[in-house]
Amino acid sequence: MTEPTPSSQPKIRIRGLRKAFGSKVVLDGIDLDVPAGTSFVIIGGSGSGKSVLLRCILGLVQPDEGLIEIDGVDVLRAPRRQREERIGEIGMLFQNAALFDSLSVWENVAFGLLAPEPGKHSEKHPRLSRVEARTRADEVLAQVGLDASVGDLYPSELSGGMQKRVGLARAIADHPEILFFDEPTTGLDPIMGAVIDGLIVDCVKTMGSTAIAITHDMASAQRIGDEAAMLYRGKLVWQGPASSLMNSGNAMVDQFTHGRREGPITMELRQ
Amino acid sequence: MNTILDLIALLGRTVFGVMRGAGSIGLFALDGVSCIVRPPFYWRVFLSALLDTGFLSLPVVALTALFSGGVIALQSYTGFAQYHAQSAIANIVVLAVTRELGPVMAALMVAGRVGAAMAAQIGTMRVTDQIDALTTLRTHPMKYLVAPRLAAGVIALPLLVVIADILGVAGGFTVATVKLGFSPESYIAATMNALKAQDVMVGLVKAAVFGFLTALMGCYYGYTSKGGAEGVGSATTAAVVSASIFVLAFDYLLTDLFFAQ
Repeated sequence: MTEPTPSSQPKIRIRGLRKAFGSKVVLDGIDLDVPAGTSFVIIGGSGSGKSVLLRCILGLVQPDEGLIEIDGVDVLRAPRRQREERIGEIGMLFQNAALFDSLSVWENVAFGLLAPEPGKHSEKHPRLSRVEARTRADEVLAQVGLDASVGDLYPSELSGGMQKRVGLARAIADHPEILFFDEPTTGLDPIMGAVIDGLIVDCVKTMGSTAIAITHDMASAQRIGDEAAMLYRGKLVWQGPASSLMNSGNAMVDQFTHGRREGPITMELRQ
Repeated sequence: MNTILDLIALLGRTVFGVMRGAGSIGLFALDGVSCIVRPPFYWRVFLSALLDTGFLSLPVVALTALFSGGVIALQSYTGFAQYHAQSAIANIVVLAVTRELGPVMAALMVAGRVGAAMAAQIGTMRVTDQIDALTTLRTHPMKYLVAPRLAAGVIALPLLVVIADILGVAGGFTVATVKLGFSPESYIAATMNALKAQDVMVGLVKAAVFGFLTALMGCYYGYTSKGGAEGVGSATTAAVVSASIFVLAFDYLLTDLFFAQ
């Protein structure tokens, strides 16, 4: 068996990932390769394990078994410094933006640039002064279509769509190599959803980042994704081009994408 | 037979639950303390917590101390008058305030005001993914959220107690001179005579311990909260109740340690 060459090495490689909470198996042997520069979309119903998968990669949830490699580094077993360095290359847009209530918008956006953790800044990710960080925050806010004056507001003063934009600005402020999007259009009207998707695509393409988005919004999945996969009961049941989501030929994906009640997917109304 | 076994099982579960909880709080406290001494230290968060715990708690602590001192003077007068020992009132007030009432009342007020706020704030951050967001932004949540608050609790409470001591004695003085007919000069002389540096120092040590416990309970229950708004509400209640119990329990232990013959 030959080792993959660096050029063929996926940005993120997952093998046999398992996670259970008590008797509830959430991830059941996930194998997944995400090539560098790809925008990968994972679809699936509520409770299918999408968020847990992202949290396992981020190190927020410890999986029971399996392998997660980022740039060939096994982040579950690597020394702490190396693991944090790899995970530090991930920017995340949370489902509800998860902005810090007590900080102004610009401080939220610049938070990662100001963080004084030793050893977590480098030539690529320098620690900035507050003045430099404010300038950078204004630039990134402009990139997501927000005026610099928004920087002085607090998250509670923003609409849902603006909060998502600020969350996106915070995720991309430090030029991460990898971007995660957790339900980026949930709670937004269709037009604002399309706007956010457009911003995500622009940011990913501009920065050349690798992206993983999880969603059950089919329009969003097709706008954001190059590749797509479907998660059902903790397993990946389909993988293919995002453009073929609506006519994949897979009975489960077809039922899910067309929202049919009848089909192989059964809703678990009672556990 | 089954009933007895059920009772034993219930007792076992309860004991294990309490031990698990105590162990969890102990590990959290150790982690929090280690985060205070390991860089980086978030000075902005610390100063904000110090302002909230210390300066903004001042009115409620001051009023509580003032009235407590007055009540001690009034009650001890009622008791000591039967034995013609009214002159001991100044001693009683200064002793009670510096040794017990100052630190305990200040800690209970801070537990209700600041401990609850810490639990609610950190708990809300937990259930809205803000703590996870910290991790993705190269920030250790314990260092950012917990360490500065623990340090602020340890520093703010003794400062509050100094003021509580002064106002508690002033409350006793006011009641004794205005209501009970003591001469101001003799009351002040008796107070100065009874005031001991050791009592004040022990009160300040108690205050530092209570400040740590109050902040610890607020941070712990907030940090471990789950389940949305209801979970945050439960965390807030648990933080105040457990901080109050810990303050009174440690008050006994410290009193026994410093003053037992």
